[in-house]
Amino acid sequence: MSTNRRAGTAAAVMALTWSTSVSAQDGSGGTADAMADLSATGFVAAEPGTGDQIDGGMLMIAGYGVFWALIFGYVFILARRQRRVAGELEELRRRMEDLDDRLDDAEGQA
Amino acid sequence: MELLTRTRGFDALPWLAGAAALGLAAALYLIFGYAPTERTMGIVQKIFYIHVPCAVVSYVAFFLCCAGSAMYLLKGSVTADVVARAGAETGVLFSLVTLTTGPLWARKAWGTFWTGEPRLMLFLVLMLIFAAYLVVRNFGGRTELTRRICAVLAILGVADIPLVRYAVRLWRGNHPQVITRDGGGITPEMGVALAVSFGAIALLFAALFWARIRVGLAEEDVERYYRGLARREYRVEDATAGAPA
Repeated sequence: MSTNRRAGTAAAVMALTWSTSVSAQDGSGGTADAMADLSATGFVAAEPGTGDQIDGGMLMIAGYGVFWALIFGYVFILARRQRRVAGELEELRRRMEDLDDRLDDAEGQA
Repeated sequence: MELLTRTRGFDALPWLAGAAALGLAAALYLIFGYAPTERTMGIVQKIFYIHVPCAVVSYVAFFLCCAGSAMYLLKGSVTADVVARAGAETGVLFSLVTLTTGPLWARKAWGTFWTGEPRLMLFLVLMLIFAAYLVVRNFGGRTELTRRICAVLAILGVADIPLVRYAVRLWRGNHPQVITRDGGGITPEMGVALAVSFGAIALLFAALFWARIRVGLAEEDVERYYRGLARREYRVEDATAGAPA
């Protein structure tokens, strides 16, 4: 169960890195190359309202959104780990007490 | 028997978390309410205030990972190993923030999410080295060999940081360098917002790093107690076998 969770986390990290690279290569890298080729042979008039209309505000919101999502995601993972470890310590305490009782009984009988 | 973990005693986490929350609130106010909008790039330049501190904090985290790894190799200290792992994890977290906010900013500033720019590529390599460290730590088991392999990987990985830092000068990259020794290329208001943002993100890092160390030490204690439990079970079995029927 723990291994599956770890595999999921590792896969998510790799997927995020990969998707960033792919979107970088496919998204605008190709467009930039195509534009460079065109500008070498001639100029083409852009239609009104076309061209690079990407909204800087949306990019900024996405940037801050990623920041908060990653931070809260990590806090959530840490809190879950902390709960699991606390649960294990409680279970260990119970088993230790049980073993101590059994050891006292056995030594008393001997 | 009472189970005592090394996580007891003074706990700085609530103080660090509270200071980080206050710092982040102040930073957000200064970024959006005090610092002016950049003339050429517009509002997307506000990403700068988290992008740069997160990059610097990730270097600090990776250096701490390297220091912990070196201590582990020299002294065999489990606490140093826990520190190293905490450094790697928080470093990858903040470098992921850097690697996702940077391309979003670059899309508007450069017209592309990603280029083969030396600093970008070397920073990606740095993040992947420590991501590999975490993969080996998570899937390699809690063995001495895994810890040693990862310690060596962390020490080698940190060698990439000076290259990232000086990549722009060495290979004439086009990554902006607005903060230099000759004075900043930013307005005083932007400088104040950046300084507060640096402080807040440093506090956030300290809180997360401390929390991860706390969990790591507790995990080591659990491991130790399981071994103690097994020894106690053998003693109970021996005592039961020796007792009269």
